[in-house]
Amino acid sequence: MRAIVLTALYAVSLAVSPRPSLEYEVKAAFVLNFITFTEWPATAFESPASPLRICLVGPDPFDGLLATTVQGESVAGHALVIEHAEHGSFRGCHVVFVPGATATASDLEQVASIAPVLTIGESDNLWRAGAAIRLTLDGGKVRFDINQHAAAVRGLRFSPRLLTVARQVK
Amino acid sequence: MLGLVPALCTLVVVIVASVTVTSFTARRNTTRDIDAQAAIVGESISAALAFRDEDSARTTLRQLEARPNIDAVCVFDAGGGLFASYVLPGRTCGSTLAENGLTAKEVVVARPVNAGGRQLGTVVIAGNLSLFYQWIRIQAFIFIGALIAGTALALALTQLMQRAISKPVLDLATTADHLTTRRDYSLRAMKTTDDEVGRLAQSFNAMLDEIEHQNDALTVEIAERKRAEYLKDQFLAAVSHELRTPLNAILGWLQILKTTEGGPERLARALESIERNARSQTRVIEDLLDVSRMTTGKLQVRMSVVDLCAIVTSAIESARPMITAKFIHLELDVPQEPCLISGDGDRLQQVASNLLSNAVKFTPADGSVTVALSTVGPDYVLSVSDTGVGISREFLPFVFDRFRQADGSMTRQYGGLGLGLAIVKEVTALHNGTVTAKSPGEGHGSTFTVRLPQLMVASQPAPFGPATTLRAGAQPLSGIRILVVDDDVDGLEIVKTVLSASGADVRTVPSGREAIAAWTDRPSDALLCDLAMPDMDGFQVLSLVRDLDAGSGHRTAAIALTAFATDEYRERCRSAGFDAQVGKPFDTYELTVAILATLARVQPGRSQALVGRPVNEEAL
Repeated sequence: MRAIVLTALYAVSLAVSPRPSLEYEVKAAFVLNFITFTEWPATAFESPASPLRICLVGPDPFDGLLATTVQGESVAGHALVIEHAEHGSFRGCHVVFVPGATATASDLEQVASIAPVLTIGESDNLWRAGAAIRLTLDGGKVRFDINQHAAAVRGLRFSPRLLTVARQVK
Repeated sequence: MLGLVPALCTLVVVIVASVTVTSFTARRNTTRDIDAQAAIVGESISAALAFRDEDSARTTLRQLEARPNIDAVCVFDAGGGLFASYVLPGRTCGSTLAENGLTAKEVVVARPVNAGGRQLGTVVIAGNLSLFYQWIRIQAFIFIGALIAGTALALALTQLMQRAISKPVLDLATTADHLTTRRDYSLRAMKTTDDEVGRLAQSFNAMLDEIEHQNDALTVEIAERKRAEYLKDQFLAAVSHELRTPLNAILGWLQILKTTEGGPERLARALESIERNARSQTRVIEDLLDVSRMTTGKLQVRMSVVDLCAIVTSAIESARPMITAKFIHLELDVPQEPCLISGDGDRLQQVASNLLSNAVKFTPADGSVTVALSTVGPDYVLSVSDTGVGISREFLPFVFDRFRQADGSMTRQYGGLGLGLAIVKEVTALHNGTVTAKSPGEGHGSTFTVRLPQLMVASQPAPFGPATTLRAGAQPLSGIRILVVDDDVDGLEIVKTVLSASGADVRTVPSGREAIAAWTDRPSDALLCDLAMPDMDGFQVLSLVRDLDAGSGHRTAAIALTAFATDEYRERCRSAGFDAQVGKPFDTYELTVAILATLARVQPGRSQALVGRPVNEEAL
């Protein structure tokens, strides 16, 4: 279990932003890192240059900050784009972020499916339903847990380096 | 020692090159190693950097502490801020980001930290080169140690080789030096090894053996040559003396006869002396000729059956006046009956005369000489003993050598050339006989013994020998017509005088043409002809005379008169048709005998008339 300590640099950059919370600023950076240390099967993309779609379900808890964070970034040759997704509809997404406790039954159903989608959630029921990553606050610090099996059945592969910094790996 | 310098230079160059190559390789390998470290660190620390997990980063970096060659590891984030580091005391990360490369002390390598194609930051590692320098030092020590050890080994080997090769060579050189300075060829090189140097020493010694041997041979040869020179000088002096002495007497008497008047008594004395001296000189020349023939191996004997007893008796009779004059007591034991052998009568008489005259010569007055002839087994043994000066033990083995006398003074004291015994030995050998000399020592007399094989035939014809043919009587040639041809008028006159005195009817002509004219006018019984004449030589004269004979049925006894007393000449005369040959200067006795013998042979009808004619030497 590792505590993630925010550096002064982050603190400064967050301080100048009017909104959202410091928590989601860190979580936005974490989401980018998760994508960075994850491999998708080649079949998940139409072409090697196709964009990697990050779908936010429900209202944007990052308040546009995630979009700013991934702006201009690309991972393994795929440009990162932010899309808004309806509950229970993850079609065309490579990453799905289900914020807070907003997950619906259809979300859980989607999460349980074996489509090559990296599901990141914040709620326990989503974790239990088979989300690959759970973001959480532990002692005021942002941490994450990893469900290696969930990723594997979806054809996703986590870098071993990622596992070394996770709080919990199952 | 100097020979090692190039080898050492080569070694040093090789060592420097080797260290340089090693240094280059080691530096490159160190750089690669550090670069690989950086890649590994970058990979392991990527997630920790991304999630800014300093605990995880520290754990990763702590693994590098075991690496002694790493001075600093600095991990910078994408913004260039230092995220994590591991540095040795006294080292900071402040300056390393800008560095990338090789300094004298460190290798600095910067590598980006990537994940998913994103650069998350940079890892910089500074590796120190101390290990590398340590390795270079160790290598240098090893090389220098090897150099020193190699040099020592080379020196030791050089010493050994010097002992094995140089020393024997130096010894050889020393021996050679001694040879050239001392000229002592009995020195020898030491052969210490069996290798090439040893063989060299052996060959060197073999050469020295050869030189020493040749030196010795040369010394002996030089001594012999000196001895021969000495003997030759002695001999020439003796020859000169022997030729001059009778000439002095002859010329002296002739001078007296020309300048002074004297009675018949004095004339008789003069003539007797002149004749004796002339004979003496003739004998010397004959001896010299004989020795010359011996030297060239051309001394020959004309073998016929002869009576050795008569020959010895004749020789004794010839020597008797000398013996009597010296008051020497003569003992004889010579049989009167014929003792026949195959031999050359003249030569055998020479042998007996020489021994006898030697005995008389070396025996003082009142001494005695014994001549004995006996039969021992198949041989006749003639021994001539005297009570004279004897022969020293040292000189005895050389007594028969040519030109050799006991010493030079003996020649002067006793006269003669010392050739007599050499001739005796040669003639004896030609008769398949032997001659030996014995003497108890100086002053005790000596004995010479000649052994000659007997002629083993049942009956023998009476031998023809001068002693048996010519007995007493004054006119052995009476009634015999003789034509004498010689361009030498003096010689002609002497022949005429001598032959006329023997009762011959002598005509003389000075040339071949006149001889033919005289012959045509009236033939003679015998032709005495000189060979070397100006207009017509003796051979041509004979040829014409033979032609004239062929017409008339007359058979002339042709006798050549020549000064060339060689065997070739004798043979030439024979083949030209001469019946006999008489050498000049001639002995009247010999000439008379030759004429009678030739006539008896070629005119058998007349031989009965001739045999028994009295011939007396004194009467000639």
